[in-house]
Amino acid sequence: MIKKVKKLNRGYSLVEMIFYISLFAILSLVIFNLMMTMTKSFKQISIKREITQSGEIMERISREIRGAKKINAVADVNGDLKLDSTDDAGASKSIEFLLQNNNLQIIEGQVTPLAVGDNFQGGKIAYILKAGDPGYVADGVTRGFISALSNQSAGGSWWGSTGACANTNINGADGTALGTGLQNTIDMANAGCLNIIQKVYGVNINGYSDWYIPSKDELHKLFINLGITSKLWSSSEISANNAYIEGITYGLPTSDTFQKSNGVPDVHAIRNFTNNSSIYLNSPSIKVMSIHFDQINTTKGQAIKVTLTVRSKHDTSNRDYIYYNTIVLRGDY
Amino acid sequence: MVEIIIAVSIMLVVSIATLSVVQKGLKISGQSLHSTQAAFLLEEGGEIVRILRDGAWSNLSGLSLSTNYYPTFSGSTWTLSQTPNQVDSFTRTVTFSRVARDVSTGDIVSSGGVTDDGTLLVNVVVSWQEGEQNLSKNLSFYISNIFQ
Repeated sequence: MIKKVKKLNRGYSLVEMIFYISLFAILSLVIFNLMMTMTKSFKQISIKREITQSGEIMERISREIRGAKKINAVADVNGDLKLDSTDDAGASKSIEFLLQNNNLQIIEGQVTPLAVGDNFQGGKIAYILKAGDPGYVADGVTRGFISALSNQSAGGSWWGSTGACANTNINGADGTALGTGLQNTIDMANAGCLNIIQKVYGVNINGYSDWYIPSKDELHKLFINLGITSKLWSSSEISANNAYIEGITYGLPTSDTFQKSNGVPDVHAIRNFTNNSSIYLNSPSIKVMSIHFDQINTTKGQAIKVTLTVRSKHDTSNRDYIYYNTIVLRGDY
Repeated sequence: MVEIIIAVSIMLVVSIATLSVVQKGLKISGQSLHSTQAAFLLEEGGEIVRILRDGAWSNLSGLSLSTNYYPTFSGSTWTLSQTPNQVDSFTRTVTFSRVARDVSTGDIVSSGGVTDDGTLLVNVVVSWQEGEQNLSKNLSFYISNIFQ
């Protein structure tokens, strides 16, 4: 009986229950609210850290402008600033800042743009990729292929008189378009068609060892742009017995089908080139909203006022932050 | 029930303590960002003075000493104005002071000496408000009439 009474005394009255539950609810709400505030604060800290780090973009721009000889071209709104500068060895180079899709690129290259026919990297520039070509990328970097200065072989059959790929439609080597010659050449090597590629593939020609036999379309560019007159093999296979060649017919460069066993066509190597280097200055978490360049001319030189607006991709409030600087160019001493 | 209330109370105290640390971190990260922006404005202040000197020494020598000037961009070049202006939340001032040199050694001296009309002491200050706090960065350098 006494035990029963004691047990009953351990309970809570209704008022006590309501009080405790209310207190618990209030404390829980406060804690929840604090947690939410902390989460938001952590996010804000993260955003501000990203924006602070984006000051490195302005730092890089400032350094490049300060080291430049002169302004080549400037567009004051969302532009494009091109500077004439020098590399560590004192050789001329161009520096270009280009804003595309909220990403700021810096492109380093030559002051004078490369052109077809220029002697460059072990040969002559045979073709520069343009919009629409396979492999073309609109990033300000110049890409294309270079022709060797002379033929690598005076005659030679596509497959060799005997060998693993004789009378065989090999696996691959079917590409005819721009950008397929290298893979065709690799396919020829894999299939054992070594007769003509051994003059080219992996061979050091003028200091470079990444030469290959041009595809049908690449070969055609060689004829059109460099005025080649001899009959040349392409690396584009047609069938078990035929591959494409190009030669001059009635005074015009013409593609033709030739028996692979024919030893008349010569072999001419090409290699790919990439002239400029290009990197993005902003990290993936930062959007460059705009960049303005204002050119300032003085009697003694030039300067550029830079206004850089950045935004964190994690900032849902879309707040922009602006960095300002003005930098005097080193000048052309 | 009492135990739960005590546990929740402890959590509350810990949360408040953590929040205060986070809020402090947020404040510091804000200061760090503004400090980075101010550093570029300070650098720009120095460059502006160089640009004015490169234009003509008279651009600087004609200015009043110990007077606050505010850089203003006109669209094609910088000028110094006595009308206060702000760059976003920052205020930037440029002041110039007389430079004196020891007659015999030519060294710059803080007192005495003779005034060097071809050199000025430049002081650039970028200041901003960080909550209740006034913060500033300062850059001092000498500039000379090297093209005379």
